[in-house]
Amino acid sequence: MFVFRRWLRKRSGKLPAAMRDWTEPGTEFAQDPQANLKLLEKTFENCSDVVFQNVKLPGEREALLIYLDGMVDRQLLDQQMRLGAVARDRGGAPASPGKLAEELDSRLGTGGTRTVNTLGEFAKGVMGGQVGVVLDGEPCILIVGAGRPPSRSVEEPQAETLIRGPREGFIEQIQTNMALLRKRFPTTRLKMEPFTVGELSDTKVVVAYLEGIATDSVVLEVRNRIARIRIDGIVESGYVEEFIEDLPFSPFPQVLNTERPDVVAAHLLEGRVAILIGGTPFALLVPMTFWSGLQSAEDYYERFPIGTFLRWIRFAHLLIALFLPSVYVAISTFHQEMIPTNLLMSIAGAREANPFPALVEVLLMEITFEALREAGVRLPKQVGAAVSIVGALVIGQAAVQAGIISAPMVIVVAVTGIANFSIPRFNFAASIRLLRFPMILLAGTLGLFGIGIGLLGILIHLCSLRSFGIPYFSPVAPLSFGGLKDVVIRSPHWAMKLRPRLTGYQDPVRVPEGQMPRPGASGKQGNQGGGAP
Amino acid sequence: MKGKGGACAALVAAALLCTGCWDRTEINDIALVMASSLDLTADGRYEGTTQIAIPARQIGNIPQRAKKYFSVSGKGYNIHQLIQDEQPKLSRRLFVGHRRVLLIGEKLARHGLGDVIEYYGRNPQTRLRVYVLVVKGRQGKEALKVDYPLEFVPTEAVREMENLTGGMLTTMRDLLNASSAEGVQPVTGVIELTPIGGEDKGEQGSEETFKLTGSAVFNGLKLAGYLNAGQTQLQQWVTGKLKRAIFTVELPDQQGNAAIVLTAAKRTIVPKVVNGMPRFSIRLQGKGTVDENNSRLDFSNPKHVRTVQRLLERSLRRDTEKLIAEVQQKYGADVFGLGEALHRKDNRSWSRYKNNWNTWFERADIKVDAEFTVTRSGLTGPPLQLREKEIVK
Repeated sequence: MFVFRRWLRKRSGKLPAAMRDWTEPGTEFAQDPQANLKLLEKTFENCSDVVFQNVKLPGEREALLIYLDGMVDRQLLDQQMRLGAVARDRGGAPASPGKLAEELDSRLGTGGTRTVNTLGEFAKGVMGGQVGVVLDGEPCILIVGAGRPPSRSVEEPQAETLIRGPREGFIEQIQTNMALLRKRFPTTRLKMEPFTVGELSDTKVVVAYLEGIATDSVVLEVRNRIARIRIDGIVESGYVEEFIEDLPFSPFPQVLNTERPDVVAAHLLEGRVAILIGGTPFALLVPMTFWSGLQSAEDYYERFPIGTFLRWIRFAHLLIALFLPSVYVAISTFHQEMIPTNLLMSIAGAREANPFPALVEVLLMEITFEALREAGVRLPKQVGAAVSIVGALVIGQAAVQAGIISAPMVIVVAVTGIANFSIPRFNFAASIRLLRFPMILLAGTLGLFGIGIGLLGILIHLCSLRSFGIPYFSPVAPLSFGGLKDVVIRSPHWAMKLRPRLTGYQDPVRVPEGQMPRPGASGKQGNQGGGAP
Repeated sequence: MKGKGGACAALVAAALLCTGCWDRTEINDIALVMASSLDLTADGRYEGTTQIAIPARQIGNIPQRAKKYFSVSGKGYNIHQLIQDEQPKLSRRLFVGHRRVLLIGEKLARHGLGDVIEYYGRNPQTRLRVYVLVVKGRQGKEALKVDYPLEFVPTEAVREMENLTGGMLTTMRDLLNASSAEGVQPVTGVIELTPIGGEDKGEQGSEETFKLTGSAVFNGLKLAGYLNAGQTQLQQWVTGKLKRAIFTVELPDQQGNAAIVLTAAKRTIVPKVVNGMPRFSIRLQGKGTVDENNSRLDFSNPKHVRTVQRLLERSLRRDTEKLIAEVQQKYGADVFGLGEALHRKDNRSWSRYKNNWNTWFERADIKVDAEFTVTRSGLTGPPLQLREKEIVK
């Protein structure tokens, strides 16, 4: 571990070449339009997606438009140019770029139309999808906001499907994602603070929280950690996640991610902080607790008895996914007296022809299963079916019939796999999957004693882990009885009166008292909705 | 600091992995002992036979005649010696954690179980819930040879029978408890080999089958005699272990009988010391239902129910007193735990009796009182087949 860490930490020091800016940002435009043109041509050299377009404005003026192909709304651009011409005509004299900019902005309201003086600003604007306009004979350059970068429309989330619940999912466009959130909270209390991360990618990162509900210290910590990131580019939310986690070497994820705006909304209401990242449909949610890894949005959408039942199923399956193979190995190789006699007979009979020890057998099967699962995820859909057939046939049947793997072991691995799939958060399920292997090794070497050691180790780690300063295992450890209402059971919404103690406790009351539906309850409250007198 | 941590981890790992302290055993490296028997040979050695399940024949389709188990035996002057005699005959390590039944030949039982108890009390691998049974009049190994078609190994049948009869048998734990306690003598279950007569043998190889027939009375860990099934039931009632029983009540006036199924049984023992003599009054309380009525009585009439209760109480009292008297005279072993009851009630006078409690038990004055309540008699009061005038209302 120590060696590994040292290896990971090596090679820090000088800023990588990629991070140094190539377009010297401070360069100001010259008075001579010809020199400016040359400068621009040199700057955008070999950028084949940059279009230089000469247009004749009504009157004698000419303009050079510089923009990115495919990132600009042509229609809007056309309109703007015409308006610019109008501005000139009405004034009688050629309008100065500054005036033109004002005029365009006030008429169209597309925003972002301004004049710039330096090459750096200009290049940034053009690369951001805006249009640079060089009016002939003018030393300063107009930036027109007409960007429309390619994006898909809002679709149903792929990774988190629900039976009951909103069908909207985040997309790669951060503005759309912000709108999806704002739609849920049309209030100024929803704050969205912008950050830019990545020297080359200039990725937009937005920290969203509900003011007065989210804990200030957590918000502050999120701001600090995001501002600290120095990297060439952010490609996906995972890049950000790894920079802002509390304990990078923990097997457990300390940041929740979701594709669903409704999940983000629910967490914001509990006082958590969301981090939206440009270019990915996944939003991050902090602080995360162990239990939120076992919760699905649907727990809250279906009626509470169902939600509670599903949670218990998941708790049971969490234990199965983590311990079943190791318990099987431990009991069948160390503690045979613990197996009921008839079951032992079946297992012994099935294992009679096996060439491998149980430990090797379980490792073989687990690794094969993981490979199958991975292949099923990565392969194109058309090939995926073939993989499952091969998996079912080869592993499920042939291996058993050939006497290489015993049938009980296949059952154990299958049940473990199913149990793992029932954990709703993918990254959380993956960490459980990862922990299964050390548990199997412990069980195979030390038996139930080893499982005890492993379980204790995991528990100790979980109890000491924190996510943005909030204990990972809360509300169980440290114990908060109120919080258990949303862990052990999913209590009905009218009974979850307070926000979680450690996050949303600035403004604790969520649901006022006495809203349990019961006969006569509506009469007392004045019954605004009409109906019974 | 970091180097030290790594070194520590390496040391711990080495200690775990290199010291050879593994006790990992694959399932197919153990011989699953299902039952064993202990006998005394003519030259005074112990002879043990061990019945081992053959796992490969336990599942799937196997030939009808293929045996699902096999046996090995060994001899020795103590039990470890006989195991050492057995183990070389086996390719797998003997594993007794799943043994269900330990059969003791009558000869060994009469000789005494002291050594056996000592071994099983000390050996941690033995399951404490192994049933200890005395094979009546025969050797233990003979009982192991009996084939039984229903269960996967014959002795599994013993366990199932025990479940059906409702806790009549004694486990090793009971035996250890009773042998180390004061004022109670152990009993064990008894198995009897009977020839299969007339019935279909069900593809059995052997000519005999076994049945559970009551219990064996021990005195000082030596077999003193047997109680039959009925006596065992009463003995268990007195010791408070009775769970299930069926009593038949003769109804002399009506030339018939009724069967009563016990649903709850309780007992109270009141020990007393009168003029230096221990005296016990035992009160048996029971509840049950009438399940069979071969008389002309209409049990929807409470009067008749009371009659049956009274008759049953009388026979219970009479039988129990007879049983106690027989045990006192014939065996002189306090299998009812009366001494223990006295010990609990009156520790001071117990100290006077405890050294030779058995002789005091023989002379003790014991009174039995029974109280039985019939709670139900079914919806059909009189037998259905009787005509109106035949029924005694």
